[in-house]
Amino acid sequence: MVSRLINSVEDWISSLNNSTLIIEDKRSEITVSGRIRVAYYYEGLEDKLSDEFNIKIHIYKDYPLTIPDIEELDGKIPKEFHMNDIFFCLGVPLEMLMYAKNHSIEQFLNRYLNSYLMSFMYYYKYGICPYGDRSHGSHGKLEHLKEYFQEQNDRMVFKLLKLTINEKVGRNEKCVCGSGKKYKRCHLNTIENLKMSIDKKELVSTYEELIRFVKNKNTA
Amino acid sequence: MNKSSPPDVDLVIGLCYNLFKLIRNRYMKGVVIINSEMILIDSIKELELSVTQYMRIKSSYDALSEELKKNDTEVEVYTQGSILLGTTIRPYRKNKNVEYDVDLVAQYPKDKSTLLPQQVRDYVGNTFKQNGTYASKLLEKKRCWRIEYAEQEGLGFHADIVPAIPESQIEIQKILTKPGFEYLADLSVAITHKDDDDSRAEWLSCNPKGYGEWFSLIKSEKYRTMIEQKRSTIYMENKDLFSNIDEVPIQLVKTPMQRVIQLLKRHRDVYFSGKKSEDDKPISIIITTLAAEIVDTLNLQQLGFVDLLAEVTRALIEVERLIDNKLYTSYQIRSLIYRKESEWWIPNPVNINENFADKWNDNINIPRAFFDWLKALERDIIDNINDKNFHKILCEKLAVPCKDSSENEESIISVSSNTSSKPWSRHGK
Repeated sequence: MVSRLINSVEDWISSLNNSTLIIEDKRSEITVSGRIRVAYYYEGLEDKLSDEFNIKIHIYKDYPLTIPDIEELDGKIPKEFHMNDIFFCLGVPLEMLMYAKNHSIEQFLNRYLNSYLMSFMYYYKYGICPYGDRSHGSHGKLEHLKEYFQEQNDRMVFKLLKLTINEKVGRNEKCVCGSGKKYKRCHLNTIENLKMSIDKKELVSTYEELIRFVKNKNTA
Repeated sequence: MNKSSPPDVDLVIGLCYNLFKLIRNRYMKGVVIINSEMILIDSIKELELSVTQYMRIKSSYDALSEELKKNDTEVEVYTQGSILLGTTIRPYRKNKNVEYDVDLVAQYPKDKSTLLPQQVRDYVGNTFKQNGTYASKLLEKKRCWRIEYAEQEGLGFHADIVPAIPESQIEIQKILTKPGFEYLADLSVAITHKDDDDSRAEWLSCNPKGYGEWFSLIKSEKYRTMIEQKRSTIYMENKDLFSNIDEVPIQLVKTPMQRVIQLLKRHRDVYFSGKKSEDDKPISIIITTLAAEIVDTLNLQQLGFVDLLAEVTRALIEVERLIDNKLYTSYQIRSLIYRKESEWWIPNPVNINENFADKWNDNINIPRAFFDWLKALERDIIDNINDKNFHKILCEKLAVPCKDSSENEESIISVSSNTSSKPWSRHGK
């Protein structure tokens, strides 16, 4: 397991040019540290940006159950940009856990670290994230679930989330989202996918957090 | 085809490999790829007006407009053609880059029934003849007055000012447009045409504003979000030029639709340059109209540059096959180019009785040159998009200096809205 993780990390490092990164195998984690040189071409925006970052990646050996933490050592990225204490806020936890479940660490770093650094470089130059960022806290989590279920409405997200946690619907019954389509042709896959990749406890706590958030929002 | 022959193994392996490459390019953009999209766009950027160049041209024609207003405060001066559409590309003739054309209309709110064409020509001509700065640079053309500007910092251009008045209501009633664009007929103007000094000027009907509207409707329907995004990027990069985002001329925002037209025009210029058939090359309005019509028929939104270029080229080549197909009779399902009573037809979408392919019927070499060029376009660009020497090939076919690609040694990761994730944080404002 661990050797597969290290191989995948090595694959990732060898795909980068002009970067000097060192892998260390520690007791509960693998760390990758050094300078990473990145250049991005923004499709649709026709813009090229490049820069160098001094980073340290903590890859926990229970990946994909735990998401890697990444820090930047030169203080180039300010705390105001998406950061939790010292680590990058790569994305919404639920989304990352789901992605990690079906992807190697190489693919994970390619997607999330690249997106993060390129968003930062663009933000640094123009003051906005090129392809958007999530709202802070619970609001961002809700945004992600809306996108995931492709629903506009808060209530529908809760219905679908509840279904993921404990209800059963027959494949040929009508979907709870009200589309009129059979469940198997509608939300079945999205729900099964969520069920399989996320621990039930995590789903329940997300559900409760979001319910609280929406209630507060409505009373405020 | 002989059904019993065994499949060619090399061919099958080749196809599988290409398929693999296609899938990899599409779904694994996180991996390092210097893609052809970037190469194509960089080449076009070399050949188009920069933001500062565009603004310099704009201030020149704003000055012309001021000058005309001194004589008649009611005159309205506006752009037409590629400057209006945002499809300007460096013109190339006889193996060298030549100056840009800036096409303008000077429209006077006068009644057509009370005026002779020559009087309208004189409104513009006399204003500039009386002015010392412009008189020496003024030239009379068949339909316009040309003012030559001296080349400055590598930017050479001339302005063609077309004198115009609103078209009469009687004529407007007669104009037929493509279905759904009837209201654009009201924007028609009457312009003047004079063959030489001895002949009398005559009225002609045209609708540059309506055409611009038609073009812009197709563009914004397909690329609304991209236009907003790019416009704000241009604003943020040029805060010294613009005090707010609305000041950024929409012509500076280039969607893939405009880029495709720019590329087609440039490839045409280079392809015909120095050839015997150079005078028979397809006119820009034909290329622009056909490309926009094709984009309009695509069901896909926000198609990227390479994909759109391939679609447009494929559709144009397909057109030749459909020309004499009798099944296509009504306007809606007619091939983009068709024959009516053995005459070539490419109608103006905002006045379908105006034929952009008029000249094709006098000289058979013109349609021939057009279809030959399309084949060359496919061969030169589309067929080479995945070639490892694409950059070099493109530089040759578009006649742009091929910069040494050593700067490209940096691995460039191509990112787009569907390959990137959005940062989030637990706490914050």
